[in-house]
Amino acid sequence: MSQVFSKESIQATKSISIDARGPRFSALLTVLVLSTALVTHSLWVVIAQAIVFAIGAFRGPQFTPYAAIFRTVIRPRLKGEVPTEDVRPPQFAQSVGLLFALTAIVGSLTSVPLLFTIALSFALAAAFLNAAFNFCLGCEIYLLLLRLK
Amino acid sequence: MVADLFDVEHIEIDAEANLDLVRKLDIRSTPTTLFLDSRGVEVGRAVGAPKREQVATALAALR
Repeated sequence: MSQVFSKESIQATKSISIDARGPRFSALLTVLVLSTALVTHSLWVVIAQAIVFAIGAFRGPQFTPYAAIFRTVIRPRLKGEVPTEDVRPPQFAQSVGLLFALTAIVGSLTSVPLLFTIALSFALAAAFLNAAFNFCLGCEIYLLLLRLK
Repeated sequence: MVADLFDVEHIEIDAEANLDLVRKLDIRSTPTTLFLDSRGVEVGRAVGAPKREQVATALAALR
């Protein structure tokens, strides 16, 4: 704890900030959808979730249908200060979710039900951590991965 | 809230544009708030969005 800072060497923030409560609500819906998929073994439900993940990964988590529900239904009912966060970690987390969903789809199409179940379980576990404890696993991995560069 | 305090400055830093600094200071997730004294020495940090009281306590300790 003896680091001396010089302002000149630091670059300012230039990223997009989003309402930090949005991704958590989206994670809650993701938990519901993924657990439905897991119980019913429905390929179509996983495909629907994969599309949501894809929008979140490529356009940003603030553009998914879940985020639209958050904006129109949930957000007007929330009080207090609006916590914001950098969009990039949750966006990365969406791509991790997409990867698991695609793996599950491959498992289903190639008739490997174990792959379907395992991939979905991982995605569900991550979404559950986010929804229940506001702990976004993908977001945590994000900066750690960048650090390795 | 820092805007109300004339002797405190708040600087936002983009972690991704400053990865060397991220490694050097062992920042593991964003946002991380570092509290620095007048000499620029870190006296505390808050991981995640800091609560109002956390900021107040950290700043009070600096006075």
